[in-house]
Amino acid sequence: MTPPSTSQRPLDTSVLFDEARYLTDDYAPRRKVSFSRDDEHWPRIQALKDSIDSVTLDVLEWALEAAIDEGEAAVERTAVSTIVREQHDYRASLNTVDCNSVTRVSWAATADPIRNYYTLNEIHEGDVYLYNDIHESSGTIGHLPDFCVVVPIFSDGRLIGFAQVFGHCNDVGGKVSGSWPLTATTVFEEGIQVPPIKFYARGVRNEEAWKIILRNSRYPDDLRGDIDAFVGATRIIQRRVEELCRRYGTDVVEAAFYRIMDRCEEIVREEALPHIPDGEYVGEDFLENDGIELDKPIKIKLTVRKDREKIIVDFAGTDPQVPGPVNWVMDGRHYSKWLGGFVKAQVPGMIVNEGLTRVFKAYLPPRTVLSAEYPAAGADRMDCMLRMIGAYMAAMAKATNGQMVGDSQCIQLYGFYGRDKQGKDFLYREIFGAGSGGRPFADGTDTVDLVPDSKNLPTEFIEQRFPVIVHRVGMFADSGGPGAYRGGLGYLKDVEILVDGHFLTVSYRTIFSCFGVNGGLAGRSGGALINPGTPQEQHVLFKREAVPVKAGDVVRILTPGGGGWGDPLARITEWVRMDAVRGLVSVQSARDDYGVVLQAVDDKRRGYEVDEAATRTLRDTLRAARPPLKMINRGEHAEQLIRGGRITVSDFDYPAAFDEAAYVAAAGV
Amino acid sequence: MAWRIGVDTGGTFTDLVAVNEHTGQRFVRKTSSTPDDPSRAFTHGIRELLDEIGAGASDVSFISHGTTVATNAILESKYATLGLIVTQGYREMLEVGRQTVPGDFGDITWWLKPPRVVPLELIREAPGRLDFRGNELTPLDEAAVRAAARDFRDMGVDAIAVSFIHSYRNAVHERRARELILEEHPACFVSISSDVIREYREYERTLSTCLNTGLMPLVTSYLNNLERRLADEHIDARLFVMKSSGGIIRAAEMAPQPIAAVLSGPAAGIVTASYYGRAAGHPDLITIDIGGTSTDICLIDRGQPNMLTEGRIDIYNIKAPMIDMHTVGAGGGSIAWLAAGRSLRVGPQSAGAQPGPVCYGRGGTAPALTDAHIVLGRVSPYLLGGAIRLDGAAARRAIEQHVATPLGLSVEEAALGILDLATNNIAQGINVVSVKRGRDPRHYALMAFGGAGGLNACLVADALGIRTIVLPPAPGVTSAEGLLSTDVRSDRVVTDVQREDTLDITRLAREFSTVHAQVRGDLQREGFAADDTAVSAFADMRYVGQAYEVRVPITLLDDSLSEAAVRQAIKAFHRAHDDRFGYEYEGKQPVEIVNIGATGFGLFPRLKLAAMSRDDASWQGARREVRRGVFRGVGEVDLPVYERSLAPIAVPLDGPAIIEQYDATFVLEPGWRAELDAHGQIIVTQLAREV
Repeated sequence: MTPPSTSQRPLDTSVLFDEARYLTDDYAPRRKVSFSRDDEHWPRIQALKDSIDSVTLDVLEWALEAAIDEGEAAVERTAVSTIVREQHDYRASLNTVDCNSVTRVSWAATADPIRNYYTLNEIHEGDVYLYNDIHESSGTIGHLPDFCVVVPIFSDGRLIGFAQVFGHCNDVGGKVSGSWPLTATTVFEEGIQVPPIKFYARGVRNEEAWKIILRNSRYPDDLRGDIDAFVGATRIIQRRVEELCRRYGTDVVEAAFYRIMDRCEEIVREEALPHIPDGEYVGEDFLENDGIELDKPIKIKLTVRKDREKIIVDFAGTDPQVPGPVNWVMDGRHYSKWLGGFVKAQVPGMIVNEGLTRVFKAYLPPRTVLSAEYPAAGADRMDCMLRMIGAYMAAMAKATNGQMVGDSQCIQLYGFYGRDKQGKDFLYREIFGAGSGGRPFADGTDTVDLVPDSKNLPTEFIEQRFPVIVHRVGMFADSGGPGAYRGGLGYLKDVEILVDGHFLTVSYRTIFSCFGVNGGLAGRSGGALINPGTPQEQHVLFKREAVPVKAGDVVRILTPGGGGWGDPLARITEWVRMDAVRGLVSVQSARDDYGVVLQAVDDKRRGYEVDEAATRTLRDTLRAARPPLKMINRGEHAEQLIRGGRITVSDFDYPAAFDEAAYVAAAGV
Repeated sequence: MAWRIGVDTGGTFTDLVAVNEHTGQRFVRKTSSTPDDPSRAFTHGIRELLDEIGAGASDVSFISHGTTVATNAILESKYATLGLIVTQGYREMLEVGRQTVPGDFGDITWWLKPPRVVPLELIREAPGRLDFRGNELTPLDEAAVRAAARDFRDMGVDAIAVSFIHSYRNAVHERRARELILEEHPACFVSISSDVIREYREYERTLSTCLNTGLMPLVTSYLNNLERRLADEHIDARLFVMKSSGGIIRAAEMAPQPIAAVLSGPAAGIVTASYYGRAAGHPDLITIDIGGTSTDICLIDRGQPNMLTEGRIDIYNIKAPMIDMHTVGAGGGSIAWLAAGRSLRVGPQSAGAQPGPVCYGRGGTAPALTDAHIVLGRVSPYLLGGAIRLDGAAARRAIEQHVATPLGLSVEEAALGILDLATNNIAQGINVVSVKRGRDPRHYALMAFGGAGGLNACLVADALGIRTIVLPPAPGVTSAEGLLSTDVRSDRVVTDVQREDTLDITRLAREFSTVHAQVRGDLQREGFAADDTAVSAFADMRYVGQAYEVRVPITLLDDSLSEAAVRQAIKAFHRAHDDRFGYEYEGKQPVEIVNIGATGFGLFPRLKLAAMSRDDASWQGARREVRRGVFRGVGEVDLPVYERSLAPIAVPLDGPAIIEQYDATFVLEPGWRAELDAHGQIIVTQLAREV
């Protein structure tokens, strides 16, 4: 086994990482725009901040969270786009007047572009602001379908903050139906760009702008329904905050905003950071391509530098901005919030807000795929988002000596569009989850979505509305990465289209795999098959915006399995048997991947029994013949590319630290 | 034959109320529940009650029952092992579910999917397919159904659920499957999804059907048991069971649809609340039913609670008609804890009835809401006439250790903080049923009941700006009372998605006449003459593109559905949407009718509320003791405690004060004034605030 390289050795805990180098031109600014407060109220608010009693603070924190819940529930009940409503691709938040998020789901958009475009004197009660312009939104919105609505909140005659709701609308124009072009090379091909505008001025809607925006959508009724839902929801949040001001006093509520963020910062520093060993850890992951140059993977690389005061995530080594639409145009502040959400695992019940970004700091070199500049295309930035999480998890697997969850790819879209038998345009698009990664304490979960509260579409809904028949909805057997704890299974869904049209896929792990951790193997990749099992079978790889299909074609959608965790040859044999009886793992995979020999028995419920003696022998043989277990197992395709010098990783030989005795004891079987 | 008896079985107590049909005279009783066999406490309580009244078995005309048998079986996963037969291609439907991870971003890494109601090895597929209009695409493979039934029989599985795609439109395949199963496995309990709920969304319908099937053996034997025990007692009264919809149904009719009884008890409480609200001149009410682990909240407009077609029990979305109740995890047993070591939270974890709050002295160590009440002098150390004694010192120590010391507060400050947070949780729950639906809570009276309702009522009202509170005569047994003030109810619904611009009124009218006839048939079977029934119509509608519906009533002139009536209901939908969500699209976006349905009531003669007279009573005479109590903004004060049964009618009393009765305690906060009305309800109003 190769010892860990020097760059990944835990450091002396007295060492503090210096931030000076990130403040040079080698790095992009961590926050695109900032607003300082020097107004007459600020000294008073600051003084009050530290004197609020803790109970009042708790009540206000919880009341603000409830206001967000209420706003989000209103969106779910009334929005039209399935991505908003079923997939829950929308978020509400509350911002301070200087545009910091007070409430959870901290990666929600912020009000920065409103302050950037309008002076405080120009912002009035009754105004509603609207934007989706990725290059003019100060790094708060990442692709054009995300329309963001912002409402200023006034109390005692002064502006104290903003309520915000953004959501992913069905269609905002651009080169393809559904506005998720996969071959765009500038933002202009992706749809209408609305810079921050006063959508309502003192309560009066700008009907002319509204006409222009709706005219640019292929499904204007959907867009209108969504944006009206967002406006309604932000107003609910605004009213709730105003009521709190009446009950507790405006100063108290505003001071609480700042104290709640301070408290998040303190909790992250004092409760979460001690769980992560000080040191420097590298993580890498790859996008399959940018949609333009199909055989060129794109690397996301990050180095986590952790000391007792902070976590720095340095993205040096990440590939430059690309022509295709996978670029992400946000900033380090925003990525801190994306990745920082994962510290919650260590501190149940904590609310992650802007306070986190003072302790958990991401820095990016300029013009990388994660710090792309105008006029970069960004419709498919979700690819970067998911791989960034993968790279972070890989780094944390090393930081925790393998006590980290396996990789997953739990959001992808598949869809059909065309003209139905009545001659009307339709777009059936559905977001699919997949298998999550095996964990140090449990199997990954089958067919789940990364975004909380996301829902798939019922067959009985799909068939009512679109010209398709859904023949099968189930799981992709054997797709979960083998491990002591297996990766979750992806989807298998067979859809027959009843008219001629096009098939689209936004799918990312189609040749790469979700990596296994700490001896676990990689999961199977996903993809799609047109007319599977027939002589005309066609394998669809990568993401595609327009694959022609004919009436009667059946498309099989497969989503990837999660990476496994721990040595599969150690997996509890009874669990392998149960998976086989339930059809989740084949008898062949039980033998080849898990070394478990199963015998069919004449018992309808048990189905198989484990041949324990044969299993022991087989496992010994397999163990003797295999290479050392890896900490990060990226699967066959990535290994080929690494061996061929097409991609590089720092951890190819990094050994697993799997402890079989501890696993068996914890399994308690 | 003059007495009607309501029996509500809860986890700790079985509550009974008897009302004389002619005089309105009533008796109340609480007896310990017998969870191993709830029917024991049921008959034991009835016997005790009859002894107290001095009546015999033959004097009972009617018994109505609220039960948690179905709910508990779901919560504790104690339903029967069952098999499931689904459409080919859908074997993994329950595994896949809706792909949903609850909670917050990142929770996918640690969330564990709960076990499925039916494991994969007990699910079989049958070829046979309908399209969304109900037309057959592939005929049902009868041999496959028979083979599955035989498999289940051989495995010893005696309950089978059937759920086929699009069966809500056409139940023919499911009905045939049931016949085939019973031919192969005659002793089996079978439930088909189109009988459980005729609405689209296959996962939710299938899940409800599975739970229904799993509950059938248990509920059937429970109800049989009750009937047998009643027979043993020579009680020959009709036995009814309360449904989640707030209507009752003959026990024998309940057996095939136990899923309809999951909110049996709480629904009864709301029926009582609307009844007493009307009596008190407050038909517009927000009710809070605060129990040991949670608070059920309901909004009642013009004496009628809103109805839903689905709700959540534990981890399951249940599809069955139920009263629109919102439950928040705030009850007497809700535990106070420090999130991340420093932010005070109350609930949703609860000490429940076992071990209960620290003051119960049953081994609880985590401070609960009730512990805060006792520390502040709000609860008597003796409950239920001395049957339960509370340990205030232990409560104090627990709050000190777990909350006050870590936060640097006094014990009283910590206890007030716990009250504030619990109050806030309840107030936010009220916002969900009111403000979120376009209702201003300040325009409603608050009715508080349940064991702990009166302890928090004034605080909750203060938080929301509600100025009137009503406390019914027996807040601790409201559910049992509700069992006696309701009607037999039948709901039938069918899904047929139609756009307003291509409305096929003939088809819709035909479908309506089917559900209408079913409802009439249900009531007829219950023995109601046509004059004693009322049937109304409703439709669930949405704008094209939306996925959630709003239910609106359809006004009928006779028993048939006219196009004019539907058009009028569509207009009502626009108004309801605007009312609830703040906008409407009349003339801009077409409306889809999704479901059409009928609700029938078999009407019982109304019970009378007896007017009270207590000419000699006075607050002075009702005063029992004076305790020390602590209130926010006031500090420690002398707190007089009054006995409700001795309180005078129509004489005001200003807070702070405590009004105690056998089954509940009411805390009259400073700034509030209470008086009893002619029926003995306590009406509480907020005094004008000092400026």
